[in-house]
Amino acid sequence: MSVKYALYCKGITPFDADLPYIEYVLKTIQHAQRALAPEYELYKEVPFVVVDKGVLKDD
Amino acid sequence: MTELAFLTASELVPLFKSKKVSPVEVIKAVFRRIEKLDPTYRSYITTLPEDALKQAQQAEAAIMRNEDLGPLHGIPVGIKDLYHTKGIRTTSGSAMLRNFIPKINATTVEKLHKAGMVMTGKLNTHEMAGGVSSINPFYGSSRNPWNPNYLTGGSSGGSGAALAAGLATLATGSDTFGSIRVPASMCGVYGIKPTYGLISPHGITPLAASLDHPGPMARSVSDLALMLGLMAGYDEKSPVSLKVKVPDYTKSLNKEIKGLRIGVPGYFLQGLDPEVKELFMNALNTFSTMGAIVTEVQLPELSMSTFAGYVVLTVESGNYHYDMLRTNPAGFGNDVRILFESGLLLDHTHYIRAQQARRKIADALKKSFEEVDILAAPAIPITVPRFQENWILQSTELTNRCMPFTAPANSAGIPSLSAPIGFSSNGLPVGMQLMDNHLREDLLFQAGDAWEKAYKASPLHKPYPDEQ
Repeated sequence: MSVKYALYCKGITPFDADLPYIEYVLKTIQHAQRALAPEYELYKEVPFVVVDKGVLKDD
Repeated sequence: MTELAFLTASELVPLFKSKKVSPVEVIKAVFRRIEKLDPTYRSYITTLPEDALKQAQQAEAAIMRNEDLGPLHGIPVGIKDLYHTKGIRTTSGSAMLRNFIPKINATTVEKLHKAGMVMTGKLNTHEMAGGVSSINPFYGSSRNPWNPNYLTGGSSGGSGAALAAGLATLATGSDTFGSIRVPASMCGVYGIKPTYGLISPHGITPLAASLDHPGPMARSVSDLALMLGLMAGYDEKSPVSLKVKVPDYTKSLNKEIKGLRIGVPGYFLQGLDPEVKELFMNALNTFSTMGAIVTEVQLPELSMSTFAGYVVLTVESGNYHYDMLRTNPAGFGNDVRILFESGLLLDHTHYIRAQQARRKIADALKKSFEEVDILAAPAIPITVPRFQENWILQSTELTNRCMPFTAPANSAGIPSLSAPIGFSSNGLPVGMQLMDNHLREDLLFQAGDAWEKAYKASPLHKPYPDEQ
């Protein structure tokens, strides 16, 4: 799906001049995603922690 | 008069109390400089010369009456234009908020007023704090006092420029992916991004709520310690505010650091500009000569910081500005619109994975503090860039370069103090960051203060450009 169409689906009318830059940002994120190595077993982590346990310990 | 504008708050407070210097003299010196220099540096969006003079006169009168004075009595403080100020327009660096007059003060502004500050005005910022260049198409870009052809860094670029040019004694900033540490580093001043939730974000325009850290900026570590103590504290108006006792951080100053264990993650030694690397290594050597034990530590989990930082930043900021992106996209500057719209194209898998990566990063950092007392790293890997013609690309690329170095502390919510360490061959400042476990700002002030004293006594240190 193109960036332009994907933004239309979100109710946003993008500026054509922005599209190469948006693609650039998305490529940066895609590249950074390579660091999520399977050995970190991210799926086992609780995704949202309301109050950090380490901070609570110091209260 | 120039000298008064460059005194720190810690130097001015006793001079006011002993009636050797008046807050009126200081505020007049500061505004004379603003009038002369700020058309170039663009550190302020709104100045308040009449209000500030009135406040300074009231401060002087209180001193003459020998009244009990607040810790910042008569001190000129610039407020980042992201912080809401009652009755004073607060643009957040955005054209859409050109006429926004808040009905409330941010909690921090209220606290600083109670401490006796004289508010000089509202400091320039990257639009909505959504970038680290402080290139602002609506109010003019803040320019680096060391050389106005170079960036100040951002988003608190107005704060960095005002401090380096003697246009404020203290300033507020906020840091979501480096917005205190990047301009502090590029302008040669000091800044601290404290523990997440230690300073209430209530009344400060959010960027990415789970990464936003308000904090102080100053020309010395002792001023940071003083100001953090006044800005921090529980605020029932904020759901993320920590209910912890705020210590007197100034008690951490003037202490030796013999035996302090400083860890240097190998992660931060990759991709450094050679000049940044040389100055950073010199700083580590200086710590060693002061008796600190410097060791390299391995934290491979930090390699996930760019992903975690970028995803959480773009998704949360895109979501916050979603309605305006739909109804008035032309109201945004190109670079922040690009950043926010990028976040709308990521999905739940990205966001949840990014949060899970944050947990891994935070746990790894916490574990490292069992082996070392603090961590040290360059604030950013590059020297200060010159303004380029394609500002949209420059802003976007600068975020890419800084994110790997700034995102670890934001992702984990740990405190990070930025301090100058010297100058690159282009004559612009270079900085380092010292990081510690949650709520260990005291140790950062101890190490930062020891560093500042050694640095200021070294040939690497230079007076501020207009101080010379």
